[in-house]
Amino acid sequence: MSYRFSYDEESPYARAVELVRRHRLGAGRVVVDLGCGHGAIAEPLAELGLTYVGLDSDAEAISALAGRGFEAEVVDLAEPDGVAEVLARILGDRALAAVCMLDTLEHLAAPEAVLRSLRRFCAERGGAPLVVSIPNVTHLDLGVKLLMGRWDVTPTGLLDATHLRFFSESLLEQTMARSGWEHLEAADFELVVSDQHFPPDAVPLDRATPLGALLTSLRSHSGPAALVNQFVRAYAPTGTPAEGTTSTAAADDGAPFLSVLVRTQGERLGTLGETLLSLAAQTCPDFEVLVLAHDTGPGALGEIGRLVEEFEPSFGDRVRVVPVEGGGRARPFNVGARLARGHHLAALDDDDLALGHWVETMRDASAHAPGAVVHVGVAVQPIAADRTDPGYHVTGRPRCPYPLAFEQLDHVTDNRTPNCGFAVPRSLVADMGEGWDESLPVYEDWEYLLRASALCGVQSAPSVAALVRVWETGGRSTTVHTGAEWDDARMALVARVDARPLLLGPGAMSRLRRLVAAAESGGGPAWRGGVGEAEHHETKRALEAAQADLEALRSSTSWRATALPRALASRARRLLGRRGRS
Amino acid sequence: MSGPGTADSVVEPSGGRLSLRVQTVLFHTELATLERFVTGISRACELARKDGAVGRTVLSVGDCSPTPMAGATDAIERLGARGFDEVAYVHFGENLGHGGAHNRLSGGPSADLALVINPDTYASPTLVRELVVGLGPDIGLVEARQLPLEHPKAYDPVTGETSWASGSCVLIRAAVFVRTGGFDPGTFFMHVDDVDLSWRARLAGFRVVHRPTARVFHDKRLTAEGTLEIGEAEVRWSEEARVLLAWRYDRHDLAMETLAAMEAAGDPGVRSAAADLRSRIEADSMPGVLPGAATVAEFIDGEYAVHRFGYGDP
Repeated sequence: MSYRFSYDEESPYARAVELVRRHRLGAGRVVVDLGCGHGAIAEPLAELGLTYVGLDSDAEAISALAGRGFEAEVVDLAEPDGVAEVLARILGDRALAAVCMLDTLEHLAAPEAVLRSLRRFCAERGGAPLVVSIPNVTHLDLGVKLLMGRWDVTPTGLLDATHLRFFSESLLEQTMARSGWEHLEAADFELVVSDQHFPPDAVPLDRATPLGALLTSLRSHSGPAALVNQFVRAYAPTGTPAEGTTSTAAADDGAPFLSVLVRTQGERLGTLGETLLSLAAQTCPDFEVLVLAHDTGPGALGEIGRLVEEFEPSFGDRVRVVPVEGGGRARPFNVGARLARGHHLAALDDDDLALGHWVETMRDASAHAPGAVVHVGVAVQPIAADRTDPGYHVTGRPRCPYPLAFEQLDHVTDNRTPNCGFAVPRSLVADMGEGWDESLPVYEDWEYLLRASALCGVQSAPSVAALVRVWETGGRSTTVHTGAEWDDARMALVARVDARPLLLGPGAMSRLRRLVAAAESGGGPAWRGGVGEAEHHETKRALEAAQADLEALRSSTSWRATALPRALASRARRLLGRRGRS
Repeated sequence: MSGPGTADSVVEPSGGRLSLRVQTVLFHTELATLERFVTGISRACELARKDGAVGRTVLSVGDCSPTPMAGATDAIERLGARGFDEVAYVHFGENLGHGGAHNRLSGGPSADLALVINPDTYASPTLVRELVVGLGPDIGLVEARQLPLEHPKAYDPVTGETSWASGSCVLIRAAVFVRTGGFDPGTFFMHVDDVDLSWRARLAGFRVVHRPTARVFHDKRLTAEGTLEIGEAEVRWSEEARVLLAWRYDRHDLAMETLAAMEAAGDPGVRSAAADLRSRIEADSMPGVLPGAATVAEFIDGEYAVHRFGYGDP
């Protein structure tokens, strides 16, 4: 069948015409529309001065198109070789500008055969581009409906009854690449509410409900094209088709348990060397290391490389040094996560130390719950900067201020797990798109742990397995600065987490009951009441201030824990005019 | 902190670079631990040889366990090939104690320097080079900086001089062994034999230094309270050693104070050790006081040096 859709300024057709305009061969005049149906793009292309030729298997549609004065012919697209012959005959010695296949490939049992035949033809005709438009079966609405157990086939739309093939973005790109087409440009057409958004009162489809909001959030992060209704894309024919890649990524059998992401600015090579030493000395070698050199410049990058090369190969060969340019504190971790191969990802700063059983403990814990965030105990030790070679000296014993067992609710008021105390499944980033929030200048580890623990759950190993060092340079500890400035940053984080539903793990109800009961017995009416007008105003003001504060910090090149408190204090005072508060 | 003697008799070997014997002692050690140790120290020796910091290198592994370790020889030959000219695994057939075993190993292939090091360590690539560079003319022992949990002993920030050097990882001149007779396992079986050797070296005129840039990973663990994990048996031996050390270095007052505390302890093992010590005192068989002991010994707040912090601090 063919469809009688009208051309609209905001439609997949308009996007396709725009792609033809941008990518057609300048010397060509003829645009062939394969599977043209009623020729929705015939007039707009003619208005561009192009010669439109419509081909379709539907004789009635072809007749109507011819009646509108366009060149049109009946063609059976199921015969790929025949298509090329017909095209050659129709085109004769006329120069080809572009080929379109709109809402067509999904109707073919073997689209690759047609695409390959077409590639040869277009390559021989000066490299004319191909513009396609294809429904996206990974639209949010379809995903939500699968969770409802629904697969509603309709006469037209995303699940048209005559569709033979179904495309996600990656499958489309793989199909095109395997058939010898190189991606030029995407002008995808989005529909927030697709034709599959029914029944209209289905709770999961209502994005205002916590369930709908959560599903929307998950799908939006997990991959591209959550709201894309039609992929509208232009491709160029390549010399040869790409070798057959499989449609689903093969499991990486040699992948290590852990990828350790070590973030450095290359300013403390002494402590970085110690961090690496603590990794080289691990009892369990089932890990790789990515040293993420953040805005270091070539000099420091070379020094980091030499530092790594000094280690013996059984460790050194597992370390990659990756330059990272731009972005805030979290950028290096996200870059590292994309390059990582491990089942889990752990993040270290260049002054953290792993105890000898850090990896082993996490791997053992992970064996009990492979999809969970792994959590280990962390000790904190004070150090002070000096001018000696290591650049610091220890000033006190390690202490363990954080609980050994992870409790999600304990983390809502403050961060009780430093970076080196947890590892997330890499799938969280690779499959769900849930990486570190790069817009947060501080507390990115805390926010990420809140998010990751909610989605994955947490498996705790009750053992102190890492050491965080707190710099006390100049006698101003980080704790001195946990005043108004840090409160503002904390509120920004709370606002970020509040923006979407928060999953609570099993047992949360009991804990919440105890907490609320305790607050009710001692807290009085202030605890019970909703947010009052004044409080709301105060919260809003604080959030605005926090945003300004965070924006200033975002532009700062420094992310180091030692520098941040000072930066926060001075910048926030300057920006917020709070000189009287500190 | 130098002792009353002089180190004039310390003579650098003529012609060529200093030879080094790395020596470690196993006791119920796992093969994986030995492999990690050899991997790290072999690289450190390889780089030190390449830099010209040392010449010939030898690895001597002594095992005090009841039975020989399967695969030990293969492991040290395979993993030590790049860093050592010669490797050897010796099963002693008896538990000689830490100092006794090291004395036995130091009687092996001769070398200008001995690196006494625990097997539960992993050397930083620059460890050997840094230790050798830190070996000034009158310095007898150079102690490495342990990571991730540093030893809290204080040291002079400029000279590195310190009261004593930990036997977990210390570079010792052969002359120190010659002049002092090495460790004293007859008195100290497991604990403070390194304190005792350091102080006797200082009495012989050597200086003892800590070198912060010589990094070694020592696989120590922390309790949930952030204190060092210590085995129950260690408590008994370390308390006994305290009494013996105080006695030898002319602080009988401290020895008797410690003994009284041991006798009042709840731990039967500690009380039993106290009874043994009491018998020895009564039989006049405690170690003799060293001449000049007071000039090198430091007994400060229950430690043998000023400490920058304590793992048991409140």
